[in-house]
Amino acid sequence: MSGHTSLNTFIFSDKIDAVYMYEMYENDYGYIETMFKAILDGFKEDLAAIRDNYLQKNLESLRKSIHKIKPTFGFAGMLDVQEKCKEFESKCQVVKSVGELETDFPALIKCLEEAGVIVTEEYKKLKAFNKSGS
Amino acid sequence: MRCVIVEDLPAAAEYLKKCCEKSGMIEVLAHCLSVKDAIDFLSKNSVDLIFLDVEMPEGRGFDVLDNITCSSKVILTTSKTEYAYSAFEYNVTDFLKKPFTYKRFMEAVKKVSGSSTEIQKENGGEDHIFIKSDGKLVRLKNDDILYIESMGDYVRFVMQERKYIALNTIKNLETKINSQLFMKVHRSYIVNTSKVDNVHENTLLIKETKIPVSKAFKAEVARRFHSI
Repeated sequence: MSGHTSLNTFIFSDKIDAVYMYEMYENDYGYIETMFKAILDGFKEDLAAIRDNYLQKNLESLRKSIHKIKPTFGFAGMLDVQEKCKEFESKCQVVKSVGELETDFPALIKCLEEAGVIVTEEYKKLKAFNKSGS
Repeated sequence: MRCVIVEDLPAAAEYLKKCCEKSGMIEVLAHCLSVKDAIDFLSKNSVDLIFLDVEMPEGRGFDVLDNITCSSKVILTTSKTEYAYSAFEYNVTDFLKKPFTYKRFMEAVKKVSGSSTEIQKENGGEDHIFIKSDGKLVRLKNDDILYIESMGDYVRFVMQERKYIALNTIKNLETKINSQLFMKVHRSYIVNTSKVDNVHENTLLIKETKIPVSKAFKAEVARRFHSI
């Protein structure tokens, strides 16, 4: 992962794959800002659904809620987070009960929370960047 | 092209909307968040293309395809490649794995517009069809056909002057005849749109014969015969 360094180019967090972001959006930062907003609009609710389904020990609903949130991070250029969701979703299809996921689940939640913070920070930076007309 | 986006993830829907806008060739008529919303929308509206997510609240995207009768092209959008086989079974035009790039999006869209052109080329170049009737091949000019009516395993071609019966089905004919001139309005009827004298809510009138329009085709009929 590496950020672009030329002038008039937004420099993404090193947790975001800048090359991939370019492939997705070119340098349309207004568009990326809109996308990050859309991601954040649904993020809290989707994360809460994951937690609820885990607490309710509902394996299929847990898998579905992970499946739903998974591509979100791809759209934000965080392919490693998407991959972790994919791995967890696959585990949901293999195990027989939610109890078997008790070591993997906290790690996944931590990863998602950190990803949420990064997207929030990047969104704020992008807003300021776009507002400045750079 | 007019499309509907069936997608429960707001970010994915937003991305698709922007891709459609950027293409300059796709108008987004609606965004449906659930299978039920999509079925409701598609029972009342006609679109050329459906962007369809697979795993949705209270059902799968394929349930939409099981419950509608329109002939829209479908591009599946999902993050699970396991659905590729079902995509093949449902004859979808392409399969976009989320997230996808604009370049990949355009490849899928070109397949849709390409296939439409292919069908038009296949049917649009001819001004006649040949049918087998009474043991011989008979040439029917498109312009002389008023409508085609199902008779079980046979169909009746109703012309200006006479009628022909041939071993065929409406389902088979609808993919083979000139789609710019003819349209299916009921499971038992295909009409020559240039011969329609007037359109009522549930019927079309052709030379004083009332042709029923089924609920599934009402939106498409309304679109084809819109007033100026």
